[in-house]
Amino acid sequence: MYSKIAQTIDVLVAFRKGRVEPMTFKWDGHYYQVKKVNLVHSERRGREKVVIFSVSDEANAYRLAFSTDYLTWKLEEMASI
Amino acid sequence: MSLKLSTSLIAHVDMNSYFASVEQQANPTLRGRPLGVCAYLHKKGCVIAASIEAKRLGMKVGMSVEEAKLKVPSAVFVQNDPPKYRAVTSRVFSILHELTDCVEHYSIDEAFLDLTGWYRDPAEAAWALIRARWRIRDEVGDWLRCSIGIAPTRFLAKTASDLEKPNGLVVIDKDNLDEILSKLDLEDVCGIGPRIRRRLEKIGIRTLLELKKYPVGNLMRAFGKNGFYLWSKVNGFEVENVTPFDGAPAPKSVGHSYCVPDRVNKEGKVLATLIKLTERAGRRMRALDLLAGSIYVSVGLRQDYGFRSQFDSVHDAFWRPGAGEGGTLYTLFEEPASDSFSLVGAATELLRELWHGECVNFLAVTLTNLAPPSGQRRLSNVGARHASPLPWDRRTDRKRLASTAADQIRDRYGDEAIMFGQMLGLGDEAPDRIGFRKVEGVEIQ
Ligand SMILES: [Mg+2]
Repeated sequence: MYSKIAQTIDVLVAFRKGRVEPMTFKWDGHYYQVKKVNLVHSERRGREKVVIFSVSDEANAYRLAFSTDYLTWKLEEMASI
Repeated sequence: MSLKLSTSLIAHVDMNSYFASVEQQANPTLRGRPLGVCAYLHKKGCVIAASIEAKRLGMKVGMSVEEAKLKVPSAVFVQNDPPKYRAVTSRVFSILHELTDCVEHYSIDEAFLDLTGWYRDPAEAAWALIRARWRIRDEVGDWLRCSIGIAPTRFLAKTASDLEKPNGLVVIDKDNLDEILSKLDLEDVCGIGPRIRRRLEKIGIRTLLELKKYPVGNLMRAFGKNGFYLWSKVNGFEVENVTPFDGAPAPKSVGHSYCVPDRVNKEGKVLATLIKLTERAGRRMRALDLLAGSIYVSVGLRQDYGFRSQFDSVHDAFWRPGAGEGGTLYTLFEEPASDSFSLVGAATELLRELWHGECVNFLAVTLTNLAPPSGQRRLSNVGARHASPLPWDRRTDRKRLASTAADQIRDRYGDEAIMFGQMLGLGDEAPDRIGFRKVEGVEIQ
């Protein structure tokens, strides 16, 4: 269902309504507009805390991971219909 | 006996097809489609949750991915992702905590609320809960559904929430109690399995209404204290109170369960798997500095799936003894125990009674009646004719010291650094996974 990607991406983020929302990200030379943030949760990987944003656009769902230790974004997985 | 119908106002909130709904929440491409959440994405992996759509097409919890695919060819499967479920549970429970000061986190997807005194009547409570459900939809996730039951007791509240899935709201009160009981089967009551049913039928009780009206004295003569509990449950008398979550949950039980793949059976590792589950549970209990008063072992035997279709979670099957083929047995410890040797010894004994080499598809170990150590050592030999030179039971102490030492080794070098001989060569069987009864790690804002 999901395909693994695990690549670093560029992300534009909005801080609004007391939340953090990824708006747009650039992966592999393409820009993707986030239409909806469906779920936000966090995970511990050893000592590192990672916040996972499950987002979607018209066509696909994406799993974006923000490392709170390294302040980096990754596109971890992608799912399409 | 001067018992009266409980005047409490209890609600039970049960998230529907929980893990699957959370996955659909996170990924809209999965919505509206039959989805199985499995322990592993492997054909022998066990389906631990099925979406509402998948259940409609016949997918059942406990099937292997292979079997589920055969039954529902259009289904998609994802591997379970516990941090996601814990995060959603935290948010859902936080909303419920705004309704009353007494919320019991019963499992990862269920809570009991004692609303007594906070709302005037079931109708007012129903409104509050419907508003809470809207908030869950708006603030946590628009794909999340829950069933709500409101009644004078815990048992009836849970019975009510079971009646309409998904997204139901059912109130049970004295006026509709008989009508609802008449629609249910004896085994719908937690604590009645095929064995108890046979015994009930022997004394002429075939329905829950007959159980309700049966003279309680006769019932107690036949079933002891359990007879009184069963009778109280269907009569709407409270036998168990809502245990509030106070930020530092003292669990009522610690346990581990595992859907056993064929491989384990073939390789003769059923006992080894049980020991591993017991060790895990014991270790967690010791980390909480608790002792167990009793230990339960459940074994599911492969035949049909061993799970009943109307229940959507493993723990339901587990907590209804005898729901599938196989069974549950328990031992009361003479003295609360926490050391590996006592726990593994008791679990092994129970397995010996429950299992005679059949193909096993489910194993569970639960430690209950948990209590903190009293600080008193047993004066086991005082007064005995051949009094030991030591005033307390030295063997108990030795066992305790040995398992504490083993825990320290595991803290440092990992879970598999030291183990019982029978566990050798077990590999990755029974890895640490989320359990439905595990509400640890769920934080309330
Ligand atoms: Mg549920």
